[in-house]
Parts: sequence; structure tokens; C-alpha cells
Amino acid sequence: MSPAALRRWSWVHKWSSLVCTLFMLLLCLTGLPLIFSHEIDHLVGDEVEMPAMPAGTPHVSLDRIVAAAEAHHPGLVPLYLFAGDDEPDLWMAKMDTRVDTDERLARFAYVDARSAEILGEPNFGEGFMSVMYRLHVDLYAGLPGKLFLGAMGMLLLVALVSGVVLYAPFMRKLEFGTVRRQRRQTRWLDLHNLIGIVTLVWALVVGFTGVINTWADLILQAWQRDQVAALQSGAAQTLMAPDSRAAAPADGSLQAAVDRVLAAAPGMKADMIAFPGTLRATPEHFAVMLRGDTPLTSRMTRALLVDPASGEVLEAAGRPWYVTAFMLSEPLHFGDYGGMPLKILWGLLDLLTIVVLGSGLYLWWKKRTATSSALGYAGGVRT
Amino acid sequence: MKQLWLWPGVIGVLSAVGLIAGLVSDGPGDAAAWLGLGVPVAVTAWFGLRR
Repeated sequence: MSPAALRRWSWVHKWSSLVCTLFMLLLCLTGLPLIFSHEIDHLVGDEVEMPAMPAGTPHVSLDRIVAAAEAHHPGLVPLYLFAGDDEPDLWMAKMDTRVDTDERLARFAYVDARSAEILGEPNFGEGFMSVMYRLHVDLYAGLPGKLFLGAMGMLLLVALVSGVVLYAPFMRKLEFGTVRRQRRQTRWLDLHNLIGIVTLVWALVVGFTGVINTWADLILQAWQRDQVAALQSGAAQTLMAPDSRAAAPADGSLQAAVDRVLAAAPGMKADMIAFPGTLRATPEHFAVMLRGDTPLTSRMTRALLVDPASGEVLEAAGRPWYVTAFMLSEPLHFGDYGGMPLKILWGLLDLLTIVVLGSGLYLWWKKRTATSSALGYAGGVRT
Repeated sequence: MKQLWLWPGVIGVLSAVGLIAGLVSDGPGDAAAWLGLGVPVAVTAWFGLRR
């Protein structure tokens, strides 16, 4: 590498890192407990206590679930019903003043699917984990906060790539894995290079998927526009016609509408129901997110639309590539798809990233204060 | 040059295989994910903690 190119890449690495480092440290520190949020909720008892009932107790109609949630939060309208993760007899209702708010002040209610009894509210909005979540996701600033963190994430990607470019001149005369221990500064330089290069692929993936996650709202809005446009232009595929008798006819109820969706998509179960007008539905249709039962299909949900009045079930278009990318970017960012061992590795890699960030900061500071030192941050690459 | 990128390349490929394997299959895929992503952690521990 020519000295001029080396200087340019060093400049890129220094400034892309410096600008994003403090935010990346914040994201690493807040992300660490979030990896284990499920287990932490378990430990502190933020879990729903399901009343004991005989196995196989039938579920009441979804309309009764919705009515119970509405009675619990008077004056609010339902936006979404979420199926319980490990609890097949539980729904969580998300409510707000209108269907088209930014959902930041939404309220929740757990409802027993067998009795329509209210089982409490998750405390998403309070407590330690909620602070970690907001600092990690949007810095308490809504969409602008998310997009800002996304921009910092892109700088991280630039820092990672420029770091790889600089790895070659730094390591040309050293064996892989060398950590020179004579001086503190060379030791940290070698550790920075070693950890940086071995965690590179993981850091690129978690960084890039994190950036995609910051665009979640925009991606879902675009998908909604696509779906509405497909419906209006007649491009939507009818999976079940209004007069089809493959399922009970529509009667305006949510339960009948969902039954028709499930009949149109055999082998799948309802994971989430979005009410008309919300981000994931259209103004006239319920959207029912279905998931399959294999590891991959359980992550790749399929969204069907159903008109509660006519009973017509539609699939607006195949899932667009950008929604597929978004859906895949969630597990790849959270590390929640390989059991506890993967979560622990995610946590360790997160800690190693903190070491890379911290040592980078230290090396920059040392080089800055020791301007005449022969062995500074960039000194090691002088040839 | 080849020598320089050999181990970083091997570790990168193993990490990538691990990241994807866990997504596409549950039992063996999860084990592959643990092995693949265990490599960078183990390599760091080996070289970083060695006296």
C-alpha cells in the first residue's frame, strides 16, 4: 500500500470510528442485557401467571378477547393482537387512542384466550429493561432517534471495512495472533487488531442488521403502501372468494374473518392480527400474520388480508424483498435463534466488541498525546 | 499475502456458516452456530490470555 493510500485509509478509520464510538459503546452496553431480556423477565417475575384450567380448554371468540381489552382500557381502540410466544392460550392486545398514532404511548393488556379474562399488563414502559431498550433503539427520540442510530451504525460499517484494509500493513511482519507484550501500547494495538479481525463477520452482520432494524417503520410503511396499491390495481391474489363456502361466511366479526384466513392457509397459525388502519394492515382489511412450524418458516411470516364484511381473503403480493430482508435482520441482530449457548456467545462477542472500541479509543488518545513518540497508533505501520 | 489472510479468512467463513446454519435448521444448525461463533471467542481467549 502506498504511503498516501495508507494515510487516507487511516484518516477514514480514525474519523468513522471516533464519531460513532461513544454511541457504539452505549449500544453494546445496553444490548448486553437485551440479549437476555427473556430470561431477565423470567427472573424478575415479569411474566403472566396463567390460571390453571384443564388441558385443551377451548378458546372463546376473538371478538370477546377484543371486547375484554376495550373494557380494560376504556376509550382506546385495538391496534394489534399478538399471540403469546410460549403460551398458546394467551393474547396480548395493543391499544391506543387511534389506529394511526406513532404507538409510543400505546397501552397493553394480556387476555386469557380461554376465558377472556384480563391477566394484567406488561410493563414495557417502565423499569431497567425499558430504559435499556429505549437507549438501544431510539434514544427516547422516536423515529429521528432510530435513524440517527442507524447513521451511526453505517459509520461503524465504514470503520470495520477501513479497519480490515489497515489490518494488512499492520500485520505484514507479524504472525497471526501475535500479541506483543513488552509495551502496553503495542499490546493493545495487537489486541485491537486480533479481536477486530476475528469478530469481523459477526460485527458486520450485527451492525448491518441493526441498521436495517432502524428502518423498520419506513419498511413497514412502504409495505403497507405496496399492499394498498396492489389491492387498488386489482393485482392482489384472491385466496378465498367472498362467496366461498370453504369456511363459515363472514358476519363482520373478527373471529369469522380469522377463521377464513386460517382455512385459506392450511398448516399455519395466526401470530399477529393487525386491525384495519394500522401500519401492518390496510384501511379496510385486517391483516393476519401467519407463521409456519419449521425453524425458517416460523421466522418468515406470511401476511394475508381479510375483509371482515365480505369475507374475501387476499394476498396483496408476494412478500417484497425488503420485507424479507427486514424479517431476517431481526434474528440476526438479536441472536435469539440458537438457544442459550448462542445468546451467551452473542454476549461474549458483544463484550469483545467493547474491548475493540475501548482499545481503539485508547490508541487514538495515546497517539494524540504522544505526538513525538516513534511508536504511536499509526507508528506501527511505518515501513 | 496468502499467509496474512489465511486465518482471518477461515475464521470469517466459519462465523458466517454458523450465523446462517442456526437460521435454517434447528438441531444440527444450532450446534453449527455454536461451533462457528465459538471460534472467534476461543481464538481471542487463546491468543489474548496466553502468557
